[in-house]
Amino acid sequence: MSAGFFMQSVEQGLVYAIMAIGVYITFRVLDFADLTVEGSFTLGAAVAATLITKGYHPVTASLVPILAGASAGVITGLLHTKGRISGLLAGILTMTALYSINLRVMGKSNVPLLRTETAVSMVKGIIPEVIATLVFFALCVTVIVLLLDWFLYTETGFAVRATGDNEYMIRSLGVNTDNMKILGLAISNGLVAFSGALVAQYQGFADAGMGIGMIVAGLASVIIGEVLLGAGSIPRATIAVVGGSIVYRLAIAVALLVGFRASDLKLITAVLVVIALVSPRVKDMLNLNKKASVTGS
Amino acid sequence: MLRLENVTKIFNPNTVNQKSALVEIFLELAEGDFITVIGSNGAGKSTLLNVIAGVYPIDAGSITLDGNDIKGLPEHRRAYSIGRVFQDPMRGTAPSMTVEENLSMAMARGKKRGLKLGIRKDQRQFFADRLALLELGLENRLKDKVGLLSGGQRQAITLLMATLTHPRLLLLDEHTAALDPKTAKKIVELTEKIVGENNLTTLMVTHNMEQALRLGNRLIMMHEGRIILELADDFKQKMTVNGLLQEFEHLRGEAFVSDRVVLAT
Ligand SMILES: Nc1ncnc2c1ncn2[C@@H]1O[C@H](COP(=O)(O)OP(=O)(O)OP(=O)(O)O)[C@@H](O)[C@H]1O
Ligand SMILES: [Mg+2]
Repeated sequence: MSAGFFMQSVEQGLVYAIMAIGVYITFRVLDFADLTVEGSFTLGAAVAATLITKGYHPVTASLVPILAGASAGVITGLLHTKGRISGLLAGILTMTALYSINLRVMGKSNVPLLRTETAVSMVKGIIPEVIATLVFFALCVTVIVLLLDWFLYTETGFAVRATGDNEYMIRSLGVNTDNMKILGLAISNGLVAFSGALVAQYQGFADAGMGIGMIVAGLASVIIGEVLLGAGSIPRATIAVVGGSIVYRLAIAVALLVGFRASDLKLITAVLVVIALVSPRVKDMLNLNKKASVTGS
Repeated sequence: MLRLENVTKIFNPNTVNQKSALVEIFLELAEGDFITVIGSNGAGKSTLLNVIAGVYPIDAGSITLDGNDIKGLPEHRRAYSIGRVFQDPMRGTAPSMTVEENLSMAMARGKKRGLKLGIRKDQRQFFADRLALLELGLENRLKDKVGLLSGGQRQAITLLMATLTHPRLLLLDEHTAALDPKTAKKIVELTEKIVGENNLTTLMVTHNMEQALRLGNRLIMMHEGRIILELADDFKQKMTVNGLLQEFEHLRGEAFVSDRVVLAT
């Protein structure tokens, strides 16, 4: 793998890590499989691209999507808590609705951002171009990880974590768990949309289909991170997600190098996640067999 | 301080599964009352505690706490002034969070939760002191995840969490039933100690009649959604387990049926 290719994978790993952190919040902290992600990622990209082409400052165009994504998360949260729709279905409904909304926002299915000033091109004007993107994304990820780590140790952060851990318990201590779920979904999808906004500026376009497969890619990053780096404490777990995202992008790059097609990647990712989810069970089973054979002999 | 008037709870109304779990219940608790609740399976004991805590709405009647009608308040709002310990030791603590994190969440009962750090340094000593009272060595395990602890240890922590902020009312639903006899005994002792020291107004469901007679200052017996016997302090002191059983048969004309009644003294 060439140095350039390697660096590109790390850049991608970092920018998608922000999305993966969003998935971590719902999947691991709230224990909620949230499919809104597929729509809110695209929403972030769509809002950013549209704002940029309308002449807004790239900073504005990168931050407004956070609010858009958070609103999407709130809607899924309301459907689930007040509407009593299952979490999975609530996410699917919002995701489906967002598909239409994203097309409305963009006006067409693809908005190119070539030859326009973006957050990424701006940074390239400030620091040496070769490392500019990498440094910029690393900085964004660092700030987000630190903020999230801090939040999860605040009183409200405790309540959000406990809601995912043992809803009965925290309700019996006076917390409105509905609100905590909505808050968690808002933060998660806000981050996912921010990631989408940056990805659009990084790759130079927003596309209506760019969110497809995002949830599984996010899960893959979360799980790879846990396997490789562990998840003993919150800071450990969030850093692991970032590491997992980078490793995942590197693995994808290697898969392409050895001759897989880009269109095969979703299958590869899905298989990867299945292996990661199933392997603890297989390990247990192997251990049991071993024990059985030891006592049997 | 707590007053239930004419409280009725019907599950699955207007269906074949309709079940009157509580029928026109009248119950009044004075400040500092410690009432034990006994009754056969399905008598409505858990339902009584659940409607007080606001787990589900009642179909008729009123519930007032300190003169305020709490009937319309959601469960989490009532939790501001009501502490609970459940039968299942897993239910009262967050397993993937540490002992001190769990305690700090209990400290925040009834307060607004903002963006202050969940645990402040000065709280640690307080938590350690409180845990030391349990005499389980938990004061040295503040940073351990609760999921690593045994059921008895978790139940002891839950009891501590339920009482940490001196709630107006403490609801205990067979909170020792899932524990081994030795641990159960320990938790009962802790309950007596904590309730006594803080003079907490308490409702405690138990299947252990001896315990129901020994603890607290009042006893109620439930059957088919009704309170069929109420013993005030002086009567309760004179009552025996056999006396209670005879009382039940006399009142109901049938033998006391429960798979968990503990007759031994
Ligand atoms: N959520 C519910 N939905 C429908 N029926 C219920 C529900 N909860 C309780 N019941 C019914 O209400 C009646 C009273 O139940 P409850 O749990 O209060 O009894 P209990 O006195 O606590 O019994 P046990 O000693 O077995 O714990 C039972 O017939 C039970 O089947
Ligand atoms: Mg019960």
